[in-house]
Amino acid sequence: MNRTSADLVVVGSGPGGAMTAALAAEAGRDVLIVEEGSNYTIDSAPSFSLAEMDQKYRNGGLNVTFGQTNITYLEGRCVGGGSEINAGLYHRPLATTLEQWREFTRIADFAPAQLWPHFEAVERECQVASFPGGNGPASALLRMGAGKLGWSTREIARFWRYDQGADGAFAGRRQSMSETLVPRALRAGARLLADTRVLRLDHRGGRVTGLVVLRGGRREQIEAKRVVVCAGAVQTPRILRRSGLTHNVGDSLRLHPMIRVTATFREEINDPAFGVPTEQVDQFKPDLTLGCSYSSIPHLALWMGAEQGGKRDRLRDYRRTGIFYVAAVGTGVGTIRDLPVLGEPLVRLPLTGDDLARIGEGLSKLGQLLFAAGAVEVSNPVAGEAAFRDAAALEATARKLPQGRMAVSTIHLFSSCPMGDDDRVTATDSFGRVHGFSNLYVNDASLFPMSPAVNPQGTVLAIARRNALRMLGG
Amino acid sequence: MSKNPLRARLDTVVRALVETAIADELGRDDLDGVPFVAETAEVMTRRLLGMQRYLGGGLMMMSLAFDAGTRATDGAAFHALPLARRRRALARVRGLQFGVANSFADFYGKLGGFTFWSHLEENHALDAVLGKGS
Repeated sequence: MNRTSADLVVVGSGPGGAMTAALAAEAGRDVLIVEEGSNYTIDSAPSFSLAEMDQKYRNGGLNVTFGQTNITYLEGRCVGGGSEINAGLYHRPLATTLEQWREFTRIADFAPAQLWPHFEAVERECQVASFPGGNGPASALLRMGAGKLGWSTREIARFWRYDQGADGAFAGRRQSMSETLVPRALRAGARLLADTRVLRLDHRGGRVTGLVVLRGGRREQIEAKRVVVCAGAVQTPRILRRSGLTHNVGDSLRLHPMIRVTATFREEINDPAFGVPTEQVDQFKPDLTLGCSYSSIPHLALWMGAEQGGKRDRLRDYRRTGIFYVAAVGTGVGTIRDLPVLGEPLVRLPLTGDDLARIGEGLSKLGQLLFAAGAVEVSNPVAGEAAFRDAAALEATARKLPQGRMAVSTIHLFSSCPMGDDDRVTATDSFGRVHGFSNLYVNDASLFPMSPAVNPQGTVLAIARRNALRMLGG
Repeated sequence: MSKNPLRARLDTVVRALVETAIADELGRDDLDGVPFVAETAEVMTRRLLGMQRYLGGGLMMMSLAFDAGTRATDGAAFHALPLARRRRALARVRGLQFGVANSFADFYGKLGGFTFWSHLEENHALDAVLGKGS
C-alpha cells in the first residue's frame, strides 16, 4: 500500500475545506487536500448543462432522501464541491438566527458581533458582488408583484466577479472555490489529491493517525498529524461513521425543502442569457423565501406540468414564462446511514406536516405575488393536477398539499454533525473539534446546529474561517 | 464484443420508455424527424447505471417488470407496442399516485424530458422541434 503524509489533511475541497486549506497553508502548515471528485475548471462545462451534471454532480444529480415525500438533493462532487454547481448567492444570516444556534447547542464565543468580522473577510476575499447591469426582467417582475402587495424584496449578491468589456457590457464569472480559495491554498504550498475517496480514518486513543483512501482503484494510506473533515452534510457523517465515530453523527440532518412552479405572463419576462435572477422576497424570512430561478427551456420543461397536448406550444413561447420557487426552513430532522454490504448512503428525512403547511403558505403567497404581477397561468406543483388561472384556486390547493405527490428538492443540507459545548446534542465542540479527539475536526455545513434560513455558502465560509483560525492558534 | 442479454434488454426498454417520454413532451404519437432520441436514451441509461445501486437497480427492475407487465394488459411487451399505446400505458402508471410509481414515471418523464430538451438546446437544435426562431 502506498503511503503519503501531511501535517494537516483536509478532506473535501468545497467552501469549508477550501477555506481551511487556504488559511492553514498560508500559516505555513504542510497541507494535503483530499477530494473525491475530479479537478475541473469552472469553464469545463456550461452551467446547468448535461456535461456539468456528468462532471461535477454526485450521481449525476440523482440523490434522494426517503420519507412520505422523497426529496431530491444535489451534491457537488468535484474540486470546489457545491460552490461549483450552486447559484452562488451570498447572505449573512440574521443575528437572531445565530443567537438561536448559540443557545440551542451552547456554542462558545458565538455572539453575532464576534462573527461579523468573519463574514466581512469572506465578502472581501471571496469576491461577493451584485451585477452592475441590473438583475433582469424576472427579478423586476418579482419586485413589482411584491411591491403591489407591500412586501419587501432584496437583490442578493453572489460569489461572482463582473468585468466591463470595451463595449461597456459586463461579463460575469463565478467565483467558486476552484477559482478562489483552492488556488490560494495551492499557491501557499498545499497539495491536492483529486479523484481520491476516503474510506475511513484510523485512530487510537482519541487521536487520528491517518486515513485509508481509494485512489485509481487502489487502497493507499495517508499519515496525518491532524485531519479536518469538510465533505459536506451527507458525506462528512458517512466518513465519521465508517470510522466508528457515531456520537451525534448523522442523526440530525436538516435541509431547506424547495418547490418550484412555472408562471406565464402576457409580456416577455424571461431572458435565459441573463442567468440566475437574484431578487428574493425577504418579507417572510426566516421561515420562507420566495424567488425566481434560472429558466432555460430544459428547466422550464422540467418544472412545467405535463398536459395532454405536450409542452411544445408553451415552450415555443418560453420568453413569457419563468420558474419561481418557495424555499422553506424545514422542521424535519433526518438520519444518514450506510447500507450494509452496498456501503451506499440511506438518507431518511420526514417532510413534516408543519413543513407542508409552511410550503403551502409560501406557495399561496407566491401565487398572490405572481397573479398581482400579471400572471395568466401558474403551474400546479401537485403531479397530474391542472394549472391555476387565479390566486384563489391556487390558495385552495396550497392549504392542503399532499404528501408524496410534489417534486420537492434541495441543495441546502446541514446540521448532521452539530457543534457546541452541549455534548448531549453535538458531535463536536464549539469550534468543530470532534468530541473525544484531540486532532480531528469537522468544518463544513454539518456543524450548523439548525438552519441558517438563507443560502448557506456564506455562513459555511465564515464559520470555517472562524474555526480554522482557532485551530491554527490565531 | 456482444452485450450481455440483460443489458441489451435494458437498453431496449429504456429506449422505449424514453421515446414515450419524448412523445409525451411533444404531445404526438410519432417521433419522425425528431433528433436526439437515441442520445437521450443513452444518457438515461448512464444515469441509471450511475445512481446509487439500490436506487438504480430498483428502477432498472421496475423498468424490466413494466415492460413485461404490459403483455398482460396490452397484449405485448411495452417496447413492442406502438407509441400511442405506450403513451397510454405510461399514463396509467402516472395515474396510480403512489410513491414508487411516481418515482418511476418521474424518472423517465421529468428527467427524460429535461435531458431531451438539454440535448436540443446544447446542440442548437431547438428549431427542429419548436420551429424557427426559438
